[in-house]
Amino acid sequence: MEDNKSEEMLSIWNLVGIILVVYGLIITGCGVYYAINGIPKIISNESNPSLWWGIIILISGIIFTIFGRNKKK
Amino acid sequence: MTQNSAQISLAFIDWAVIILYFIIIIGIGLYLNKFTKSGEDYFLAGRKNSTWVAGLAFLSANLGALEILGLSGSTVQYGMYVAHFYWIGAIPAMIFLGLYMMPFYYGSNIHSIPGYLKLRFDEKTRILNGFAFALMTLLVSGINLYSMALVLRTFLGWDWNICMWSSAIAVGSYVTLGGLMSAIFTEIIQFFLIWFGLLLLPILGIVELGSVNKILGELPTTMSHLWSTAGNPQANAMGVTWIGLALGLGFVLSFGYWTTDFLVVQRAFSSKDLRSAQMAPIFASFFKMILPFIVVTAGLIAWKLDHQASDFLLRNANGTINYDSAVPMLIKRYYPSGLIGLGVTALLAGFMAGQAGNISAFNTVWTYDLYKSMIKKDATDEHLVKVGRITTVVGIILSIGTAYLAQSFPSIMDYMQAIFSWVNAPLFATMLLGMFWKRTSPNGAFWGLVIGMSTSITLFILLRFNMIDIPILGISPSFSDMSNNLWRAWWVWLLTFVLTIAISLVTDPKPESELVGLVKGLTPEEKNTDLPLLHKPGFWAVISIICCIALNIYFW
Repeated sequence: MEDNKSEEMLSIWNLVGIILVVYGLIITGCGVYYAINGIPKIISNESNPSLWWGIIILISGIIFTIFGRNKKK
Repeated sequence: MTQNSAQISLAFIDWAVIILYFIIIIGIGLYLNKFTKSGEDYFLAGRKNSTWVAGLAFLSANLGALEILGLSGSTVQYGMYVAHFYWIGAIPAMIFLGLYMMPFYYGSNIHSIPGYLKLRFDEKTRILNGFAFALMTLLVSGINLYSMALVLRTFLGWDWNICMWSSAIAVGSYVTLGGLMSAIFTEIIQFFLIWFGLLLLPILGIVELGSVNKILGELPTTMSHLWSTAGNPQANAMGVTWIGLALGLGFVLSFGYWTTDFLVVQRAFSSKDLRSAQMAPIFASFFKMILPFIVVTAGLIAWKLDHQASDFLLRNANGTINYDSAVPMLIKRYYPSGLIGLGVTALLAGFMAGQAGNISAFNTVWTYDLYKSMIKKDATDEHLVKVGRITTVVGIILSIGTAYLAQSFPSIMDYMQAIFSWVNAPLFATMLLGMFWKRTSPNGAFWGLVIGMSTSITLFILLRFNMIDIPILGISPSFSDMSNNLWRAWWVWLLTFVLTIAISLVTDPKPESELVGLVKGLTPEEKNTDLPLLHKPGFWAVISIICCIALNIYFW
């Protein structure tokens, strides 16, 4: 999946990166919405997990996208 | 089965996250279809994967939602003993596969485990194992489908038939289009979704409850240790002894599963070279080792919450605890909308990847080991790919059938263990002798397997209907189902091992010239002496074993 023979094929790491970026954006977006409009009543509400976990997913996605691109020849 | 009040309600954003996943995996299938032309592409993902890809796919093929839900639930029941499934029940076997068995598997350029049996022994052994394995994959694929529908119906209130058919169509589409490569791509995506979708659960649980050590301190001693209470089956929640754990789980079931289950081993075959194939299971062992930090920790948190307020976990209609509700109830407690969608997507992805893995293994075994060897010996590569695609569709339809069949079984996990002990436990004895003792004859292997498999099925039926006493098998007054599975696996393995040796000694072995590359002692070994230390599989194997021992000592 990653070597010369399949150079036109998207690397799996790029794909994982793109998916994580998309999900990271959605979850971070939810976190921002909750920060502005108030958080639904759940046990973990004080920490707004959507915001910080969303950012972690987003950053991981960006790293995978860059890492995947570097792996391509 | 459970109260409707327990259902998790989904907001628009949760639906968006879930539907997006379906669009992504179908898109991947369509995309990979362009790159899937030859049999090698379709059945072996082109043999061009790196250690990372093959290793993650290797682990992901095993990491299903069934396991996450089932073993988190088992933790509520058995406590820390569940970590044995991840440590002694996996790591030594994965290392053994990488270091000692992979050179024979990968070096012989086979498509499947039955393919190895044909080269090492003969056609009849291959066909016997091919049929057993094909049946096993269909049953397990159906159980995945059934469990997914069960979980989604119970926790989300979704319609049973819609769940089964929509996921079957999605899995069928992407495996038919892209073969093993599609299965591997989606398995790796599932791996990350499970980590990002579920790791937050134990983190938020620990934030609420304090620390893991604090929860462990509150567990009864029968549940809070790994080995110190394993001397006596009455002293631990699982009802097992250390010898049962070591022989049944640590040796037979674990080695049988990790070294002969084609579903997982096939992922390592997709590696670009032997070193990558060897590294795949060794590398995967590190991830396997840390999985209890999601699964066991989530189970411990659920145990604690259920003890604080006795209605945290769902109750079945007869008042017993529905252990499988641990992860869904934690999602309900800790996740807001958006994250709920991600958590549900992680579980869905896990179920679908489990089904895709079984279906892709089924199409390979059917196409190469049964169709090509019995029906059309002169089939072209192009014809085989076409047969593989048709087999995928047929396999999906059959697994919908086995999913409906699975509705009638009382306990899914017990049933799964039973299936593994029918096929994998005897096969491990055959493989071990086949690879490491050149005198093992084709007739010894075949009849050893036939008798081993028949005995395993017979023992299962006798125990199931209480026609024999468990203490006879377990040499102890232990009565748990788990202990029963472990001991049955051990005795079946031993029987197959002894019989194969006995029959081999009185029948003709294969000429040594035909065993080159297949048996230790007759195969030139790659020493890897010119590789830097960090690239040597042996180095990482030692590190992995040290980490595993350290974890066992820490939680002793």
